[in-house]
Formats: sequence, C-alpha cells, structure tokens
Amino acid sequence: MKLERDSISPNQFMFSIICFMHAIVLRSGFIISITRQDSWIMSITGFIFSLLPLGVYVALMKNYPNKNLIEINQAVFGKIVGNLISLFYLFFFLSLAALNTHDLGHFVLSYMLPETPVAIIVLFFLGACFYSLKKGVKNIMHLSTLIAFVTLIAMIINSVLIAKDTHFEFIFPLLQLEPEKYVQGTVSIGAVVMGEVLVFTMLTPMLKNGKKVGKSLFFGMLISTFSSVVVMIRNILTLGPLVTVVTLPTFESIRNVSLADIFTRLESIYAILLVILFVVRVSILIYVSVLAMTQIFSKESPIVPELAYENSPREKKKHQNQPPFLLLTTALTFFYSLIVFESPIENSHWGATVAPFFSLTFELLLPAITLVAAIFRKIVSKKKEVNA
Amino acid sequence: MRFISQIIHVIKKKQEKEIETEERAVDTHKNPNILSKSLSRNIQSVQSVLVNSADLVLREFSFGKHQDTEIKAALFFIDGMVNMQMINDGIIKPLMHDSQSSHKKGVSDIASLEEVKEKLLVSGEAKAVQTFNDIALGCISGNAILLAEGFDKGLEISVKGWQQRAVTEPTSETSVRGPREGFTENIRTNTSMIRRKIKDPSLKIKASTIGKRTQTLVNLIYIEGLANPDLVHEVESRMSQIDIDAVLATSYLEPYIEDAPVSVFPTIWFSEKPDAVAGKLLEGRVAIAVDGAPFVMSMPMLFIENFQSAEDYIKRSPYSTAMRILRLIAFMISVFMPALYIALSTYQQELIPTTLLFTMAASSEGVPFPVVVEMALMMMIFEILQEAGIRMPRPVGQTISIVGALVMGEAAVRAGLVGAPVVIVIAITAVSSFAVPFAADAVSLTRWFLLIMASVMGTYGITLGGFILLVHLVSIRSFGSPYLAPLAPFQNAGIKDSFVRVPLDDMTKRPQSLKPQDVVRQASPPSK
Repeated sequence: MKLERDSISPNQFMFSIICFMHAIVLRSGFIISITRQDSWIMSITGFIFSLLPLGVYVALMKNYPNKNLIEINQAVFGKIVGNLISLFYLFFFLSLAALNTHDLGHFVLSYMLPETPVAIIVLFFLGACFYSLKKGVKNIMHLSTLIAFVTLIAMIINSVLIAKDTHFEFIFPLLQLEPEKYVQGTVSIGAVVMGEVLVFTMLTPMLKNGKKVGKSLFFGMLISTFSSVVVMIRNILTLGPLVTVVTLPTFESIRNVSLADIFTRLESIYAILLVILFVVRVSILIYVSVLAMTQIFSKESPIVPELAYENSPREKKKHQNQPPFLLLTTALTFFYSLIVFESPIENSHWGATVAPFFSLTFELLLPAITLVAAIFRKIVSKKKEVNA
Repeated sequence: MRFISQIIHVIKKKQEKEIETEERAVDTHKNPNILSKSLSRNIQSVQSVLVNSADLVLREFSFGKHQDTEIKAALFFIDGMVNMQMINDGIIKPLMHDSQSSHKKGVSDIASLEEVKEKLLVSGEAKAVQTFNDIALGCISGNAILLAEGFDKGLEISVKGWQQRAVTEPTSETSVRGPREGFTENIRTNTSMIRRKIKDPSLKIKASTIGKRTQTLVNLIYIEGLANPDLVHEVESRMSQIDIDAVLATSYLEPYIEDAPVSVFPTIWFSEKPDAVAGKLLEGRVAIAVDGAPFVMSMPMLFIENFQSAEDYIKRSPYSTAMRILRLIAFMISVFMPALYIALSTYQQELIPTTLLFTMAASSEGVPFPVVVEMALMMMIFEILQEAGIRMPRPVGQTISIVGALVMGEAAVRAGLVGAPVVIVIAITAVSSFAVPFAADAVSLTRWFLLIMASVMGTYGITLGGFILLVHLVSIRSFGSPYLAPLAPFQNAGIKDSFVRVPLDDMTKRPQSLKPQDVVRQASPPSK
C-alpha cells in the first residue's frame, strides 16, 4: 500500500464523500425510529447543524493548508502533545471502521446469508477492503465517481418505480412530536451521519487543488443530504406507519416495487450497492487509521509523491516498503468488529443514546480545541513579532 | 629543477601514448575478424564463419582493371533470401560487362570499392563492410557481399528478395465496410502500409534490433508533436532494457514492456489492420512493429479498447453505440452468468420467479452433483473443447464441435448427469464471450474466480468479487494511463468515445488519458 499525495481532483473528492455518506444514508432506520414521519426534515436540520463542525475543519485547513488533521495537531501542539491528541482520533477512526464492519456483517447475516457465521462474512468483507487498500486508496477515490453515479441513478429509478405505491397522506401530521425529539434527531444526523466527514480532513492533502477542499466537503454533504431527504420521503410515503417498525426502511420500501412482474425484488440490487458502498466506506476508514498510525509512530514522512509511470514493474518495488500497519489495522478491525456489541439491542441503544455524544467529542470538541489553540498561537506569535 | 622534471614527465607520457597507439595498430592488423587485402584469405575466412551453411553461394568472377590487372572478385549471398534478377542485372552485369565497355571511360582504373559503388553498381542500397562478423550478418539478412582482390573492404549490397505472403484480408478482424488489407510478416510492408495511411513527415519510425540470436528488427512508430514525448521515451527506455534471446512474434516483447504482466487483462493492444493502428497513432499512442509478425502492438491500452472495433467508426454512431453497449452486456454475461446462476440456485432462490424455479427444479431432478460441481464440470469441458477446436486442424475441428455439441451437451442432459439449465447457461456464456474476442482470455479466468466466490458466499461473494475485479482494473496503469479511463477516473471528453460513440465531427479532442501533446483533433463543428 502507498500513502499518497497530489493525486485526486476536487470532484473525485466530492464523489468519494457522497459514497462515504450514502452508505449510512441508505440505512436511515435508526433516525426514523425517533422522529417518524418528520425524519426527512431532520436530514435538513442535521445538515445545517453539521455546518458548525465543517466550519471548524475549513478554518483549520485554511490556517494549515496541505496538512491533514494529524499534521495540524503536530503543528499546533508540538510533536508529543499533538500525537497524544491524535491518538484519540486514531481510536475514533478505528472504532468507526469496526462499527461499520459490524453493521455490514449483521446486514449480510440477516438479509443475504442467514446461516453463515458472521466472522466469515466480515473476514471476506475485510479481505476486499485489504485488497483495495493494497492497490492504493487513490483507486477507490477514482472509482467513487462511478459508484456514486450508479447509486444516485439506482435511487432515482427505484423512486420512480415505487411512485405508484406511494401515499402522500403518510407524510402528515407534520411536526407534531415533542421538541426534544427533533433536537435529538438533528444532533443524531448531524453527528453520526454528517459529522463523519471529519475523516476526509485526513485526506485533504491528496487533493490537486487544496483551495477547493471546503467546496468539495460542502457540496459532498449537500448532495448526500438531498439524496437522504429523497430516500426518507420515499420510505415514509411507501411504508407509512410501518416505517418505524422495520429495521431497514429503504430495503423494505424497494421490496414493494412490482412492475408488470418484471421489475420485482429490486432490493437485491440495493443490497449489492450497500455492500459496495460499505467496502468503500470501511476502506477509507481503515486507510485513514493506517495513515494516522504511520504519522504518529514513524519518524519520517511516509507519503510518496505520485509517479508518472508508477505501476511499471520496476517502480513498484521501490515504494512498497511501508510498515505492515495495513495488515495490523485490518486484523484489529476484524476482532474489534466482532466484539464491539454483544447484542443487537445493545447496538441500537448505543446508536440512539451514546453515539451522538461519542461522535461529537471527536468531530467537534477536539477540532474546536485545536482551532482555538491555533488561533491563540497565531496571536501570540504576532505579538512577539510586534514586540521584536 | 621542478620545471625540468615536469618536461621529462610530459615527454615520457607522450612516448607511452605513441607506444600504445602503435600496439593498437599492430593488434588490428593481426585481428582475424578484419578483412585483409588477399581475396583468397577473405573467402576462406567467410566460409569458415559461415561453415556448414549449405545455402551459402559463392560466385567468383573478375571485372575492370586496377593498375592494369584485372580485379578478381567474389560475391557471397544466401540462396533463397536474395532476388537473383537483382544480382544478375544490378551487380554481375554492370561489373563484368559495363566496366569493360568503352563508354564507361571514367572507370578505366578502379582505385577503390567506393568507386564501384558510386559508378558501377545498379542497386538502391550499398555500404562498405570491414569485418567478417558484418559480412556474415549481411549475408544472413539477405544481402550480397562483394569482395575484391587488393581491397581490404567489402561491399554489402541490398538485394533482399524472399518468398513472402501477399497482403491479404486479416483473418482475426474482418471488416464489412472498412479497408480489407492486413499486415504481413514483412516489417517494411507493414510500416509502408501505415505510412500510406498517414502521409505526415512527423510520422517517425525508429529502428532497433532485439534478440541476441534472432537479431529481429523492431520498429517504434509514433507521430511527433502528437504523442506525448514522455510516453515515447518510456517505451524506448523499456525496449532498450530488453535482454532476450529470441523475438519470434510481437507477444515475445509484451511481458518485458507491459505494466501488469501478471494481470489477466491485456495492457498492450494489438491489431492486424493498418487502419486500426493508424487510428491509434492519431490518438497519440505509440506502436511497435516486429519483423516476422503480422500484428502491430499499440500502447497505452485502455480497458475500453476491448469493446471498440475499427468498424465502429465506419458505421453510424447510434448503431455503433448500441453495439458497444451490447458488447459490454455480453462481457458482463460471460463473466457473471455462471456465478450468478450458482448464487441464485444455491443461496438466493427467493430471487428467482416461482415458475422458473419450478422448471429449474424439475430439470435438475435426479442430477447426482451439486450445482457448483455441475457448473465447474461443464465450464471445464467447454474450455477443453474450445482449446481443442483451436489447436486441431480444421477438418478435425468440425468433428470436435459435433462431439462437443451433441455428445457432451445432449447426451449428458439425457443421461441425467447435468441439468439442462446449466448447459443453457454455459452455452449463453460461451457465445457471449466471443462477442468481446480481445478480452476472451481474461474473461475465462475471471469467470472461475467469480464462480468460486459465488459458490462460497452467493450474491455477497459475487459483489465482493466484482468489487475486487473493479479495483484491480482501476489500479492497472498502461504506460502511465489509468486502465479504466475515461470511466474511473471520470473524464468528460473521453466518454464521447467509450461505451457511447458520438458522431465523428463531435470528437473534437483526443483522449485526455493519453496526455497527447496536441489535444485538439479538429475544429468544433459549425452549429447545425
């Protein structure tokens, strides 16, 4: 595996954000159980809420262009303290990778392979992630445009095909629940879904044009929000009150498609897309963990510049001497994902109550502290200059 | 004192240098590889270098005059590799007859072989040779060697002329409305066919010789100012590093220069059609022609080229687009169909419509093997039949197809060894794989990989396998160009000639992924 710089365009970056977000957007079940038929509004408010952490990231990246989160920490707090803070991020990335792997494993277990041990499912899944990362994260970024297009087109086609089974009255009554539920929904979407864009602050140095980072992040999130609104409205309109009962509303909603006995059982396509999106998502999470690990623990910069003829057999050998962090991280994710929750109930309880606060600690609190420290540092250094 | 010692030192050095040069001169005189002035000694040496060569011909004669004596001469050539008429009319006749006739007064006294070359020989190409190695190489390349008494140089005269195949219609790529000519085994005929298509002085043909024993002529062809200089340099440098014994076909060079030698997907494109190669050169690619091979390679190759054919640019664009999409579907079927059948029939039966499920269950009733084994067995038999059909002489090939189709298929189903749906799936897969002939080898191997994935994990396995395949494809680079471009990374201009083929007047730019020097192909069409 190579850790790379300068290889992707802002558009590819944006599409990989869409792929990353979509993996979770398609599984909107946990939020619908809180805010029911108003959940689609939560997507919008959640997006607005997530602009706050986004602002913090953009401000950080403006102050330290071409640096990722770990490098920014090192620059702001110095090597030792910076690395200590970075360890928290590393824990967060690894946890996210494990949680997502766990989610995928259980999805496949319940809908595709009910008799297969979950460990085997996860093993194959992580095998695909490992292979993808061995070939380079840049390739996943390149693929993301294609995958995002296919996902969006599938979403539109599914929505059109289900149109005849929708009941517009299911969307009412609007905004009749207790206000605290809306707050909970907004924070949940903002933190658990949108806030995870934090992961991409680790990848920004890969961009050809560093100035467009904020734009890519914003539009990536905006398009994801739009599609999540469409998916949620579709699910609510087709399933009605049932939407709060089922675990995977999107899956159940598409299951209803039946057009002239030809277009039936389209949920299998959804399942395939979901698996692919999760491979992309977990691969990015594992890559980010490996990158963080390498930058925290290795002395020299491990990132190699892009080569014009990088894949020629001769060049290949030169740049494969990274520490075996990839294998280590994948193995760690494997075991972590198997032990992370003891039961599905524990999982859903965690998702509804603890997850937003767990996520917000890393997505908002730590970056905000870093930003304040960075600004403070700047003011101090300016004062010193003036005094000198 | 110091000054004097310096002078002595300089003089000593000069003396040493003189001694060295003298020694070198003596060495060259003694060197048995260099021609001497004695014709008989030279003839003996040539014969000893090319000993046991029954096809070596020696013709001795005398011509002209040097210091009032007739010059004795010898002509060496390899029988069967030269044009006898050229030898008679271009070498022997002018030397024996014209040199003595009265109107050739300028050559009454021949002082050097240069004079023979300039004033007597009637040949397009001739050059002086000084060593026996050069003489041997000249002979076996199909040239005639002229040696003469009293001269320590010889003349290598080009009289190549051997039996060769005429320019015929290519068998591997037939065309309905396009040009019908195909490359031959002669590299010069091949390069001339490309030159005739691209009458541009910037079409460059660089020659080199590869193969220690075969000494095969290899030509690097590109259009200067259009192909990326870095690409040309990269191809040249990879070619220069080849240290190989023999080059008998273009494919001998492939593993030495390609990027992914262990991948099942080809990263170097080749064709038998000059118009197709000219098209590739005009897009900014580089081509390599090898003497003795009727195929010309072109690089970089993109995945999309598996689905393109030269005919696409001749037919109307909507039809070409439809054909390309059809080829893609055929590719998908030939890669995924057996795996999908196993996944559906073993793991996800609920996805099969009920009536079809009943039919399938009825036809595979009593079959002793699991579907996976059935499918693997049939796929194996199909591969064997295909291999046998290609390798066997044509009349026997027909027998194989009859045995294969009737005995293997029909009889196996009747005997209840294999279910009919499996035979149908294999048949559809086989036919589909022929729609994309260029990727057929890659397809047959990926099919096995997905079959294993599907038999272990059903559709989940196919999904993961498909993703791994996709990542593999996107990770391949062919001479710096991403293999899956213009799909991933996505490129706007490239899409116009991918799975869609827009009308030619809309293809204003060359493919971006090749990074050509001259991006613009033509002016934008006037608004219609």
